[in-house]
Amino acid sequence: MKPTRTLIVTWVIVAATLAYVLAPLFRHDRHGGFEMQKLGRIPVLLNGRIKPLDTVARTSLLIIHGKQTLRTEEGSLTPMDWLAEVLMKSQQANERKIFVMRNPETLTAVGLNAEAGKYFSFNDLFPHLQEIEQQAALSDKVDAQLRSAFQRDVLKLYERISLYHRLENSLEVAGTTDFKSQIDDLLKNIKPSPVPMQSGISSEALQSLGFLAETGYFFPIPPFPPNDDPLQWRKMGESLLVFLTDGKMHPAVRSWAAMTTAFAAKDSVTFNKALDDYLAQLQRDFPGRVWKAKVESVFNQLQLFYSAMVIYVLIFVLACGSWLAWPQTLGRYAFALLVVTFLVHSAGLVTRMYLEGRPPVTNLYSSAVFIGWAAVLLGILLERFFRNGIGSATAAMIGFVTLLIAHHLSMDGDTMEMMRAVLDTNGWLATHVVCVTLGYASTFLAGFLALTYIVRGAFTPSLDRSTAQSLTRMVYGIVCFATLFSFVGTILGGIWADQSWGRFWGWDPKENGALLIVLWNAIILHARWGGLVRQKGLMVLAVFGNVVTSWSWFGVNMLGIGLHSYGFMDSAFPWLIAFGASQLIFMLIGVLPSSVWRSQLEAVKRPTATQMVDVTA
Amino acid sequence: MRVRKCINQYLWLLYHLPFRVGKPFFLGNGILPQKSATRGGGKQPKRLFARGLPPGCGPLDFSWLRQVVRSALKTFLVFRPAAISLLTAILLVSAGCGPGDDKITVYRIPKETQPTAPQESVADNSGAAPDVHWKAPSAWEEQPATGFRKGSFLVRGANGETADVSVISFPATAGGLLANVNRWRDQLKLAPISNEAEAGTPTKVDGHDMFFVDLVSEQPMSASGSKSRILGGIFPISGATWFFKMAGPDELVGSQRETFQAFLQSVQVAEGSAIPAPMSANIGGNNTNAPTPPPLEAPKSASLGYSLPAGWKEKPLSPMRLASFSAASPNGKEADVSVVSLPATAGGDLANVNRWRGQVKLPPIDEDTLAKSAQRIQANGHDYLMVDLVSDAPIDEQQGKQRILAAILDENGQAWFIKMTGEEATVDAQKSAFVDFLHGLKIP
Amino acid sequence: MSSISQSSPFRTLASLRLTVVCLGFGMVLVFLGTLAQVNLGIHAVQARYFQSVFIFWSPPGAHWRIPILPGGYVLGTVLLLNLLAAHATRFQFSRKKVGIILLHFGVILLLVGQLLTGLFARETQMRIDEGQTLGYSEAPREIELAVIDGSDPNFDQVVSIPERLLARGGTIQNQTLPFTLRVRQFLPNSRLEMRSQDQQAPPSLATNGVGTSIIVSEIPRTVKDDERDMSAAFVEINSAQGSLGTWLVSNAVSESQPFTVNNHTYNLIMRQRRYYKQFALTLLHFAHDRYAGTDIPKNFSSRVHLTDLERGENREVLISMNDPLRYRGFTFYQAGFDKNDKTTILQVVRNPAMLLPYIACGLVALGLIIQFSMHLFGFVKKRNQ
Repeated sequence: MKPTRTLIVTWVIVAATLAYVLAPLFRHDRHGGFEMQKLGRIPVLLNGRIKPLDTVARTSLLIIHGKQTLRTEEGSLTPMDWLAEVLMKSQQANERKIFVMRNPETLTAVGLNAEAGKYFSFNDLFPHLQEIEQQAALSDKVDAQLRSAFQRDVLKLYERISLYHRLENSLEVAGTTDFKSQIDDLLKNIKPSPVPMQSGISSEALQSLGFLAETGYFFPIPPFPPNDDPLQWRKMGESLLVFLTDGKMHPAVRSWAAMTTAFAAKDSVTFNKALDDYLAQLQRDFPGRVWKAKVESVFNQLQLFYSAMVIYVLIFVLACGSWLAWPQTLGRYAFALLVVTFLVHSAGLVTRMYLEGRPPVTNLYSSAVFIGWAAVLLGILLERFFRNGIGSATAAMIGFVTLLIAHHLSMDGDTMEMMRAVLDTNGWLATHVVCVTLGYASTFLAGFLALTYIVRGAFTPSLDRSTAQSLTRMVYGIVCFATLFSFVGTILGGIWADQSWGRFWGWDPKENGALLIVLWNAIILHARWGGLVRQKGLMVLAVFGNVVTSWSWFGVNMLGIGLHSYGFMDSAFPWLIAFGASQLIFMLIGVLPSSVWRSQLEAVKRPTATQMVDVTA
Repeated sequence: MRVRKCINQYLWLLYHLPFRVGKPFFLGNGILPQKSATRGGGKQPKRLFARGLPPGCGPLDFSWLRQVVRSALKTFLVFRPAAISLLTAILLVSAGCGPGDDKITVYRIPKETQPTAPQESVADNSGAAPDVHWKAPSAWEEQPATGFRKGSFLVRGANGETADVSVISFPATAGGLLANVNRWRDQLKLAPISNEAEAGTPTKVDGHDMFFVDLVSEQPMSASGSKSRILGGIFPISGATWFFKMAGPDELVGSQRETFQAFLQSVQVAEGSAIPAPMSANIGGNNTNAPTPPPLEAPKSASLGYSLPAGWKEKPLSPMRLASFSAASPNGKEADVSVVSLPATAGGDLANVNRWRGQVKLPPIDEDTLAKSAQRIQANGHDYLMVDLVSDAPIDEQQGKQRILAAILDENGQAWFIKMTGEEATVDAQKSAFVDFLHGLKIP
Repeated sequence: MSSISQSSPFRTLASLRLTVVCLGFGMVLVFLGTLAQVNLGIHAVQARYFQSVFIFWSPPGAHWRIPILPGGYVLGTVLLLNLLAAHATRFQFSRKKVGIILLHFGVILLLVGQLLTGLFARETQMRIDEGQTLGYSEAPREIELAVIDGSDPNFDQVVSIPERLLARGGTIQNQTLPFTLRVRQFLPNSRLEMRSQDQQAPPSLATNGVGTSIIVSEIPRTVKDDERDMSAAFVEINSAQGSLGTWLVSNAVSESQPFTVNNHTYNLIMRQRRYYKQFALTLLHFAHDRYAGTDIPKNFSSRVHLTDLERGENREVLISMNDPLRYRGFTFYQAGFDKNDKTTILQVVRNPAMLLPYIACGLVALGLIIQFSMHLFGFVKKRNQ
């Protein structure tokens, strides 16, 4: 009876997880009768990549507002709802309280009331624009590393306002209510001429077209088929300027004009019809792009990594629970859940690879996701071999932490950016970068396994001899794996550098960080082989590996130097210090003599008595 | 044996040195070696405080220092030969360097021209976009850059005369060289030309092509009877065309010619940069390529001085407007008032009037009719051309006839349009307020 | 053999503890070297931390300094000796130890290769404008004093005096020159100002040429990567007739200064050290491709024309990132650009020890894989029993 019940419960858990993960798909978004989801699937060009409007909406809202949804009095708006307002009904959008301003100095400097809350609308900020611009210009002159918190904040504010202003003017000049009739006018009255100014357009209109062309943020107008070159996508203003010279108005312009006018007039029927027509036409012209945009917008909606992050917590709880009671059952549930979540995690990774057309690790965000994935994979293998819940627990913990880090990294904007020249060779990205990231992941795994040893040993009586031995073997094996991959990865990096500019090793901070990991892993192995450390010593050294890896992964980026610098990431820096300090504390606990530990861990030389796990502790 | 004991003791002390600062209880717990030769025990101490240390090794006892020094000396004595050779090797390596780098070399090369100046600027890592900079003379007053103007300056001359300097960029070729020169010629009421060679002088600034233009009007253009002059520099720079223009009275602009040319020579397009090297994992950041935001619209009320008549409310600006108001009348309907400033455009007043006539569905008129029908009004030292246009029929069912009341000012190569649009009755009621507004308007 | 390998000093040298200690010091060194880069350029850091014998520290304001840590050379040497000794004593050739032997041998090769690279490799740059033909590359951080004899209508004869000789001072002579040069003063980095700005300045050492109207003051050498030293020297020309005068030469002064000896006109100029090649490159076009609608660089490439009269080469080559030109022992990499995409900067590298890292990496990777696979399979076999 029992095995069957466990099996059934396992499958139920799996099904429930899948349902939770796929739930966002079933939320059909018809805000006010307008097909917002479909609008989100329209591909546009931004920052060198063709992406769905939904991505533009999410990343812009994240940058400006800091969150992925906008709460208003009527309820919460999805990013696409908000973007549609900004693009097509800017009068209303200007009222929305979206600009987040936390720094009180900025508020006073700009002239706003600090008590008015944290969020301000564009209309609130507009009268103070000149002051903001001046402050931003002053702050910009200061060297990036020397800026004060106020200067950084005011620059960020200015960037957000600029982004908003550019979005407002991407489809039509902000405040236009009847773009369609303007376009119709153009079509009727313009006689195309190589000199735009002689085509019969008023100079005021010409200047506003130039303004549109320059200020617009993304490129909504595709080239005329069958031309599929990303370089030929145009901004609305550019397309109209070109129309003045050759008389060919792209049908997309008309579609967009119809949509914006219908949206401003609250006419959902016309809007949906124009939207459907436009999508059908895009489907005819660029089916591949439409399909990719659809995949990406579905991917955005699913938020796979966020769901996985939540489930990892549950797995961790279950795995820890298996150490206290029902080790077999809870362990099995935890493992099943882990496998399912791993598949979800992998699905997300693979989708990203498909969308970007690149190997899995291309920037800091994807490295965080990949580290989590690799650690979970290794954890699954460990769990398969040892079956004592440790593999599941550690995998879940690392998965959660890395996905949390990734979640915070995604706040900066689009995580699928184009790779700059020299970095964009898929060959090296697939070998060197993946190897080094595997090295990071395995060093972290060894460190967290060691943490498990120390925590269970010092604070609970549950670290019996067999668990300690299996942990030792696990840590040793993972450290060997880490040495291999981090060494090979670092060397491959050197070879890449040699191929690219003739210098194998340039002492760049990131290179140095990778070298530190290799050296530390080598030290652990040599110390073990030389008899300089035994079990506990190995664990303490492995925990320090966490510190070294976090320095190499994030610390070097914060120095503000070298070729990987992102400047001081304000919020990340204290977290890094806190993490390092916490690891040092655990190391100190690990160094305490075993007599102080709660678990009765004898030295290897003494004759051992068999131990039972003390559940009542 | 003795040597090994020395070394071991030395190393043991080396390990213990960091812990000496008051935390002896880290010893003897599985991390450190348990060599009985030095420890005289090998038993794991159970207590938190040091037990298994060699005698006299409490925190304040410096006999350990003596021991360290003694061990070091012994070690050195034993390893004398090896140590000396190692040290020599180190010194040799550090003293010498690349072979043959100190020799004079003599060689023959084919004749070459005077070697070019060494490049002072070493490429840095900024990777900036083509960014255009200029250095304006200090005598020119900088004005806020509006809309398309990337730079704007005011030059003051004698008798309160002013000339306007503007820096504008248009995407792509913006119509071409000749078309733009003809546009300027038209502003000065000169006949257009068809030969590019006559249009101006091609020169180079900082390695970029620049087309220099100097135009003087034939007839007096301004109220004081002086001719107008335009100095211009047209730069095609990567995908856009930049127009640097000075316009104003002939004498003032003429006296500024050299200064303007120096200003053009100071134009720089930002340098390129060294390509960043990638190194190992985690290349690139999340947001390494946020596009530079263009300058925003800031309210221009600082430069445009006015006093609001009663019932007029400010409205948010749109990109074209310098000021924007709504004038409410007692019947609740509002009229829209705008102040727009443009560089004196092709077509001139007539084209704009006809445009407005089109907006109220009136047929266009010609120059003579305009001269006859339009009023001129002096307000606050400026000479405005006033037009009052009423549509023949109601525009639609809800609104009655549409009326446009507008004043045009052409001054110093700049055209100002102050326009009130609304329902006939509303505009009518606000007409006196409109004229009052004109009287209170200070044109910068 | 065995007696040596059994003796204590050798055993210490081969001990794992020494390895651990060295690796530990290595980590400290690398970490400090990384932090130092916040303020110093990479070249200064390399010289101070990694290509040095000791790392010194001086209290602020003091002139003396004490060595506090071993530098890169010492650590590298000790590690190398440790490895060699370990090979001699402990690594017996057995099937089980193949992995370890291979990978440690690979590490030895890597260290040796890096040492050789540090000693023998030379990196220079070529800055070519579009349409320009260049037959030499320049060292970015080294200057030379060139004495050019242009009397022959077809050739220039150049006598190049490297920076180190100038720094030593004294008299420099060469058999091809009928005069000697006496370096009266050499300033590795200086600031040059026009005399007209400061009337009170002491009289210049220079008696001829531009030096008479320039004030030179010494400043410390630059440590940033994107700055260059402005070196200067006062050179006195002494011919058989006596002193002809003292000239100021500096790489900030771009014109050469002429003087005449025995009816021959020579030109004196201080410039970045040039290494002339037997071939020349002409830049035809530099392409800077960007991603649509952005400024993110997609690709950099230079189309150059290679002319080699000696070997009869006359062809076009495309040099792009990740795709260098390898020719006659030199490798040309696309390194940078300038003047709004009109000038290309190529990095020219000559490194005889170039292949060593590749061989070393292969060996280490192989060794690691063998060793750890053996561990893994052994572990799995035991589990399955």
